[in-house]
Amino acid sequence: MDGMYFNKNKQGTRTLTILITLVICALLFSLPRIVAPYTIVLTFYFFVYLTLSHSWNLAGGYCNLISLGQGAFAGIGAYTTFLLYFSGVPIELGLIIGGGISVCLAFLLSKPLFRLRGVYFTIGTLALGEILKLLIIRLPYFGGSWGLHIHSPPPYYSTIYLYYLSLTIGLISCFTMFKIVTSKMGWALRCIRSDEDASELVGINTYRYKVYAFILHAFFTSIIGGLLALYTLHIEPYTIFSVALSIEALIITLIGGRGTFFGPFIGSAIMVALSHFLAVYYTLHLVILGVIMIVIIVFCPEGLIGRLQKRFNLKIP
Amino acid sequence: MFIDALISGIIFGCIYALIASGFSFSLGFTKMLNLAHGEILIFASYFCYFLFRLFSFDPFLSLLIILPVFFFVGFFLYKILLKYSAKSSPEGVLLLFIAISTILQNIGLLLWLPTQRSITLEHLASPIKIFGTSIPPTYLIGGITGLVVIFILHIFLTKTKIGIAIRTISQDPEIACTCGINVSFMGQIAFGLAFLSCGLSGVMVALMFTFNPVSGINYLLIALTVVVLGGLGSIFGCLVGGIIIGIAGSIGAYFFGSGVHLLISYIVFLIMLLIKPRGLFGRYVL
Repeated sequence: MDGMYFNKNKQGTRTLTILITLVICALLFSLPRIVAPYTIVLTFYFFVYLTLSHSWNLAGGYCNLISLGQGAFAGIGAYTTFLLYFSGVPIELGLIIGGGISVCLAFLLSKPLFRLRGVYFTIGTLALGEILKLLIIRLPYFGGSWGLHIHSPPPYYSTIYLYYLSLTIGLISCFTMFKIVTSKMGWALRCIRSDEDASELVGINTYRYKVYAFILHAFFTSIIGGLLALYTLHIEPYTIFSVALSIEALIITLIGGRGTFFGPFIGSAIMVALSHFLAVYYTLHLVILGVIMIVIIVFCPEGLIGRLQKRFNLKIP
Repeated sequence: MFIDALISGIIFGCIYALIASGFSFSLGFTKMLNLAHGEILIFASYFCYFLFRLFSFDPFLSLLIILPVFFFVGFFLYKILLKYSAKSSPEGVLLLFIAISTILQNIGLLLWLPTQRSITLEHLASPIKIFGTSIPPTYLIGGITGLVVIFILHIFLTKTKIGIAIRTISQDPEIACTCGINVSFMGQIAFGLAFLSCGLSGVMVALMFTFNPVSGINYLLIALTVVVLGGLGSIFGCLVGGIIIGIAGSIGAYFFGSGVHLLISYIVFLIMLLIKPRGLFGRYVL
């Protein structure tokens, strides 16, 4: 199945692709030496949005699990990382443990949530973040509505450190997503998206694949939540648990193309570019993105990548 | 005491029913899951607020402007939505509403900043007593408005010709079409009425609570809770659902402190969605 997009007869194309990927990776790892610090921050945000939208895409794009509950998992990641850091656990381990807790929660929630189909699933996830937020702002251990703050960051903490962290996470998530969407599971998820009952009929264990997609989505979202909180060194419960995170991921994925591997790349680039150029105008970039989203939904629901595929008859994953 | 919790719960329940009525109407009779409900409601609140602040319009008088405006916005929006939803999946419509809500929320943030706003009317400021319980008069007005709106909608749906036609198109559009009912026009009226009720609840929210551009999600979740509890396509279910949530919330607040009011209703929402998505009085699932 691995050679789905890269024809195995054309070994040269495959080698070329791997080579290009390696060059890009090398370039990205040496980026802090080349460009200005502000560009590093923008690239950090690019990878944050990329991972966020990739994880949303796995559940909401390939499969039909349109989730608005990413805030819940992001919040768990952020709080776990911070609380573990206070008790002396290194940041990287904290992020992974937060991801683990999110995975457990997602697994527990998947059983009841998957009884809901389609639109009902979406409104079910909508309440998750709000419930966790209301719980946590009432518990003094979690800092209440004031949130948590890291007063003494570790000595190696810097923008460049965060950049490398986001780069690593972004590359891992890209690699994982690529492996998944070109594997049997990717086909299964696409089947479920087009018709759940029919795919069950042809012998796909729809429940298991949906659980896998939901769990992976929770894992990467949780890590990104931790990373976003580390960037500001502060957790604000009203922001981290809000639906805004999912909506941003959703807009990015839809603009790039739902259920395509390269869609989130384009979407994140547009998102970061718009928020950079319109930074003076407060939230104007989200208004514009919303308008773009409506145009995309109405006129080309397959997204920019999908439109390219159709127009030039390409096979872009 | 306990009786206080009960009375304020019932009044809150009627307010919740008012907030949910527009949502329930559009979901039950036009099959549009209006995820932008909260933002549209908050826009009505701001409309009322600025009429009050800039032109010192009485909020109750401003209903004369706000209600027709909202009705026609809904009336024409439905036409556009219908054209689109005919050729797309239900998810497409859902995503469209998410986009609308994002746009509205961020326009709100852009224009009015996340400042908390509220309207205080001096002649409605001092609390009144009902069976020894102090209730702000605005809450009482909100509750009574909720009851009246539910009652009028019920009469409208059961007694008038247009109401019966609206119920028919929600049950079976094809049969309704063969009976000579203009399906899209009736849908437009139903959606316009849903917006009208949304505008009304926005004005009431502006009178009762503080609001900012991002507080719409709370009202959306309240509406979702009430509708899931009461059942789709049932206007009285809306009232019963609202009152159950209101009483549960205020009794919870009586035992655990005031913060749990919303928490309890969201938990009720999730549990209800999982065990009985049809609701207490619902005729059908989505």
